[in-house]
Amino acid sequence: MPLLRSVEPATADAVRLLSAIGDTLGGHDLGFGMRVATIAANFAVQRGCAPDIIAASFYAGALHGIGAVRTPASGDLSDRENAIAGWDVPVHGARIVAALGGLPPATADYIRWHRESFDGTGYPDRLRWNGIPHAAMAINAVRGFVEALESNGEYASPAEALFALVGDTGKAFSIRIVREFRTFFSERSETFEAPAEIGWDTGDFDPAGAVATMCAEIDARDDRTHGRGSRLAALAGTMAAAIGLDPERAAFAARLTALGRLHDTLPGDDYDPLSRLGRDARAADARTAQRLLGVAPTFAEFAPSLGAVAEWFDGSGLPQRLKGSDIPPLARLLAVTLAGDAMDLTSQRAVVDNRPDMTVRLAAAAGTQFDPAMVDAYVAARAER
Amino acid sequence: MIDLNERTRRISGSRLADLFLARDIGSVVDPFMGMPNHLNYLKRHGIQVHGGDMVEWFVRAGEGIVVNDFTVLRDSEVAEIVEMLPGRIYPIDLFKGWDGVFFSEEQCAYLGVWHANVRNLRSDGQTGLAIVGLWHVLCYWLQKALAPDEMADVPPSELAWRYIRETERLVCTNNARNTVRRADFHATLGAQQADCVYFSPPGKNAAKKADARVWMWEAWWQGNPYLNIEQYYRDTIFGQRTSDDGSYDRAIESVLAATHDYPYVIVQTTAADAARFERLVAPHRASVETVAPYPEEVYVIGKN
Repeated sequence: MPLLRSVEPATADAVRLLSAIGDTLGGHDLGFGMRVATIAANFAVQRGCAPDIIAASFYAGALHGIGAVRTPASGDLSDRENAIAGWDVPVHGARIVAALGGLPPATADYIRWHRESFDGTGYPDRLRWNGIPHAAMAINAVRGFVEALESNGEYASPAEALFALVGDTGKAFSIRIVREFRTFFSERSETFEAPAEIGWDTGDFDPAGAVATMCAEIDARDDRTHGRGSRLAALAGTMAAAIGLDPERAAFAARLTALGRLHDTLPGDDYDPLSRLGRDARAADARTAQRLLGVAPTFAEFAPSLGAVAEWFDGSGLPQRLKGSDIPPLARLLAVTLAGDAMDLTSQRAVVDNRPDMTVRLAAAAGTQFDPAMVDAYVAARAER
Repeated sequence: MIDLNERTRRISGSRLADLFLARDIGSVVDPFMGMPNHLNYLKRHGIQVHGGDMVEWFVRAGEGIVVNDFTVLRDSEVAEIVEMLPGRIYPIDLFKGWDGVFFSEEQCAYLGVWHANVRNLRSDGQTGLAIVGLWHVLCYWLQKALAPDEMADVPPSELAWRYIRETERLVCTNNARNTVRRADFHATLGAQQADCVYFSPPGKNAAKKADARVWMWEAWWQGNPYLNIEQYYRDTIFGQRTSDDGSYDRAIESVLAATHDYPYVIVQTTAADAARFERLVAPHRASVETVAPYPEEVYVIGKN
């Protein structure tokens, strides 16, 4: 993972995490967005761009894919509908980034137009010629280059990936941008992925707020989880205060649980959260969240807890079959809140719900699935609300 | 050699959609629409759109991607456009005047064939889609003429096939009646009612400075390689002399005066001209606001 010189570590980590979310949604390897960002920034330096353009190219490269979080899950759409929905990904990304604040002003619009084609057949706006900002087209060129590099063997070397880019001259890319990229590539063939110097003060950028916003976007993809992060955070904070954990950490971790549901087709909590039937799906969600958090050291402290929310107190959970106090306390807390929220939602939607009261069911699962102390804290926190 | 300076205005449907969303605008008229990609975007996002222009191929394109809700060109239909049909006599010399100037002999022959095939289509929607697709071929050829070694050689029919086929995705419906008309701004604005008038004003002497690709494509559609689109504007305000500031301002004012019944008017301009348009819009509107995301992309928004 390339380092970002001159960028506040928490900001850099939030950008890495958001970028990784975009990578996952786009079906790329983790690190794809950051690779695009680094090369785009170096390319901007090579073109002699001003510092704000270099910084905007970097952040736009990193975050270019996050708009996919606002598109419907592809399983619900035909190929044609899926392609058309994809046209809005850059606009959604631009709107999300504009709302985050603190990043260079041009970042959002570079994201908006990074998939436009020189010949006017791109999206979202079918801009053509110099109607497309030059830096946005540069990001698209870099994105295409990295995608060719990472494709399954067809373009194994950077030189061959460059060949793919050149083949799109006059279509996706202007003659000028391809010439500039060829020069950049030939002059910096060894260092085109060197750490990028980003001279931009992101003082107004709130790293934790940005991550929480993105988690809320993930929750909002599905009306079954819409607003879940806020509900969980409120309860987790109250519970944490009651049992001696840090309430702010617990509330933030509760929001991060959304990361696990990035590419759910059958959400783990669609099953009865107290049954063993959904264990595999819940554990897969937990692993996804853990893997994503691993890319950002600032937030990595939450990874073990998020990765263990599907463990059972009696040691029969997944993925590691941890038992009792071996399960991080935050994970034990989140396991109860997640189950409680899913049960709440189920009973709200049920026409007839013959099942016992949720507190009775949770109490019955205390000692097997859940930590009894956490169940007591959850019941108390709910009563307090 | 033809001058292709890549100069074009950035007309962004997604940006307009953002502006409309913030102001609860649900319908729009653009009396100077040009290539109506922005209207297609807005339509796709549920906004009722109406457009007008004096150049016929823009209007035909609009019939394909703005008015047309359902009709697409299937593979077999695209094939009948891009290749010579057996047994038919084609006017392959129709664009011979461009041979050696802008295009090769083969390209001129294809332009003649495509002209005949597109004119032969029975659906306005399909005609519009074919015009949009083939316009990209024209642009590609002209661009390649400038940099022959840097762009791939693609057989004409293959290039045309690809560009026409991808227009299928532009066809959508918003459950509203969307229109385009070949008319000057008076007729367009008088014929519609909407929440907003949006326009990017023609520049001074715009007809004389039209991009080569725009007038050449109109010449292709009309089947007259020597066509001069200045004649379209001869009887309009922008066809008279608008090279001096005073007459240009008067032309813009007459457009703004025709927008009085519309709650909003949005004029797209550049930072260099923003003050001029604010001054021109102010007498016609109760409040004027300027949104300037880029120096080359400034919106002067007047509200009743």
